Amino acid sequence: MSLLARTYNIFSFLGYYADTFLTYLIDSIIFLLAAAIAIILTIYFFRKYMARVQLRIGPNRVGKFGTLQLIADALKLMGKESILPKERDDFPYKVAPILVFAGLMVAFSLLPFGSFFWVGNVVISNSEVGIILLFAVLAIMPIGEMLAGISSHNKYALTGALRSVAKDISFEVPMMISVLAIVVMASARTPSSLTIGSVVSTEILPYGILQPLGLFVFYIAMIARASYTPFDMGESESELVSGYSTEYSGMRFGLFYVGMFGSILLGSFIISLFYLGGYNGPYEWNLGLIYLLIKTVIVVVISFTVWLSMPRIRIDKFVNLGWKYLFPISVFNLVLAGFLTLYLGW
Amino acid sequence: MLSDYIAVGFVLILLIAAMVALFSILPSLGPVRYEKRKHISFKFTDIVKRLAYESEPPVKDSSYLEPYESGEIAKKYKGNFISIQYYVVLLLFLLFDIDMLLLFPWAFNFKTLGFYPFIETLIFLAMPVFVVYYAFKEKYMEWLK
Repeated sequence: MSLLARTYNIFSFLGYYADTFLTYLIDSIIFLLAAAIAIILTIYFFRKYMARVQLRIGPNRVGKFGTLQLIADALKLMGKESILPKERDDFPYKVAPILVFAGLMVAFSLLPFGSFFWVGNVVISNSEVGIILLFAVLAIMPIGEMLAGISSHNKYALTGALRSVAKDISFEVPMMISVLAIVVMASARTPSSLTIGSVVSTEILPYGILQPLGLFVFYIAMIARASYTPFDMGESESELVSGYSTEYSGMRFGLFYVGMFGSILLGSFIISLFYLGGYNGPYEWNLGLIYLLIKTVIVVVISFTVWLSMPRIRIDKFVNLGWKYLFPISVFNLVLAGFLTLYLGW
Repeated sequence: MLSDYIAVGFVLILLIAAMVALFSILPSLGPVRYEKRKHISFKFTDIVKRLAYESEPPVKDSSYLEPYESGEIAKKYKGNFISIQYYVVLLLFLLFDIDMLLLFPWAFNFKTLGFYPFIETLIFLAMPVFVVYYAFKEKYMEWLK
């Protein structure tokens, strides 16, 4: 049984079409709420963790241990006016934050989340070419950043957008070659090696152990994609005011903020699915979601520690890092994966 | 088959509808802040705005809406001063993006295709790798000259 089948059984008295419509509608709403809550919890956890690293206490006034602080912040952002600058290009300026947020949520909806006790398999979409589709959807978020930077006609915003696009596209290539190595290894074990679910189900031995170089390259690429501190030259506060989101305020800025934390969470989910074994675990008690969440939280904590302990690097050094080091490493990893699959049968 | 993608479509439609509804409700002000009100309105939205002091306090002039310039007097930035290095990175990326798309069908059938397509793919990959090597050797990737 899965979440979809259970919802379908509840509304089965309505006939086929109404039942299908209601099933997908309700499951999509449940999924969106769950993803939003997960992102809010990530932000709360980040603020507490950053406070501990910097020897502060962090939010502790609103609610017990500051748990309601994020809701207060969201209400504050909604109450603020969003100033629409005079020089803007109207349509792309308004579309850009929605595009960033929508790309993030659609990418979340393509992932398999394993099974969870009596609910069964918690998955709402099952694409045959999930890996290609996932990375195609991930490419929507830079488009939103680019639109935001160019349409607000501000020099800080334009420079920030140029830098963040250069960052995104120079790390796209090593990331895709690492994923290619996973598809190569999975093709020996399953006939449908482009579906995310079947790739994860072949991970008796996680691909992170078979391809440590691939894990290294993919992790750095996901850090760069989420654009936090070692690679945040797109919105470096000390030179550009706040990068491509300089001219945004109110809830429009809030969507960019949520998009950043959401892409950290999404990257951690993708890393734990592809490289750390995903929802596979030692016991067969339908605990897949719990295993996946534990691995994801570990990756998130490592990411936050990297964020809080690294200085920013310069844009030219950064682009050279992508093309000069990570790209040859990922090609070498692909060749190694091919030989391992062909001759050793790993 | 198609039913696998219905949920993705629902997520997209729900999200965009929710965002459009949200931004049409939330206060987003433009010239209202500094232009004098000319007439009395009894529309519901206008009454709500007046009650919520949304257009108060009024500002003096349009400097409120100028591009952010860290305190300087703002000028419109014409985007024709873009460093040439970004174009080099973009060209390299275009080359590789097409390359990646062509490689996925090969990886899908890797085990059954066997050894010779693997070598052919390596030769195919060696050409763009040579392009990157050439770009570094001719110092197109050096930002500080």
